[in-house]
Amino acid sequence: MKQKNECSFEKKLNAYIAGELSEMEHNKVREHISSCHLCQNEIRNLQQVDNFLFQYTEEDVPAGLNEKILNSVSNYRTNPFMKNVVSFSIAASVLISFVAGIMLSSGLYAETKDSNITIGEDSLYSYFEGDYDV
Amino acid sequence: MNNNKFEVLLRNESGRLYNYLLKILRNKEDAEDILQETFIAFHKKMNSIKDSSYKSYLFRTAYHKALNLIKKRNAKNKLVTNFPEMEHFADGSTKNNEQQNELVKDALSKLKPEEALLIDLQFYQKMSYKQIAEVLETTQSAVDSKLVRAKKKLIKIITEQKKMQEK
Repeated sequence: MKQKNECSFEKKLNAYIAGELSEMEHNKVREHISSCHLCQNEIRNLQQVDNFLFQYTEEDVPAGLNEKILNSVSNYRTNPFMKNVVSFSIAASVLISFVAGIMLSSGLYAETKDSNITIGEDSLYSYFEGDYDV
Repeated sequence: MNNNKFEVLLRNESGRLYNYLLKILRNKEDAEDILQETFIAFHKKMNSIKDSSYKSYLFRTAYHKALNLIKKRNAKNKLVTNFPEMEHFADGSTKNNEQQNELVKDALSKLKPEEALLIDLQFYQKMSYKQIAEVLETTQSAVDSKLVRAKKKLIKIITEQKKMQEK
């Protein structure tokens, strides 16, 4: 007779020892383990890993590293060159938009005034049909 | 987020992140560099990150940066073992702790980076499956099955380590 070497509960064992199962599932698995040698063995293996991992002792962050990071962040934030580049870019964008807006509106106004045409759906249609001289 | 809040977060989390990086990179200088890059990246984006997601963001960022470094190393055909820093651990009064740490680092560095992160988040950061799933942007059942796979690999690695020690 072929010996049973797998158990359907095996997949739940890690969650069981991690306390991730619901109370009902936890009790069900606990009850099963008491009579299943395969699961008992698997639990021992998993706990062996846990014990091994808990041997690790946290090492201190090297002296001055946090301060070095704070300085880097502070330099990035207060770098006058970067600040100037950002300010200049914003000011230039606003100015260009403003000037372009004025030019467009005055040009359009002048054109409509000269040709005595109101801008609307018909005029746009005519424009695309080639009635307008551009 | 103001600067004081950033500083508090840095001082609270840098130790955990540093140890995580140390375990998977096994190189102090690399761990320091990635830690610094992670916090700078975090600082640039912190205003758009929810308070409850700070830790997830930090670990995810550190993980991806470490992964990139490992890929670069592999591309250069450098093995993750036998770094010069290893010699540093050979002496000192806390030899036992350091030797134990080396065994854990050695074992974790033999896992895939994602598996090492999972193990770190569960064992050292004490995160629940739900929190780990948030960090890795996956499901809780995927976290469980990946953790089981990682632990099974660790069982083999630990057994091999024991055999080596007995020789």
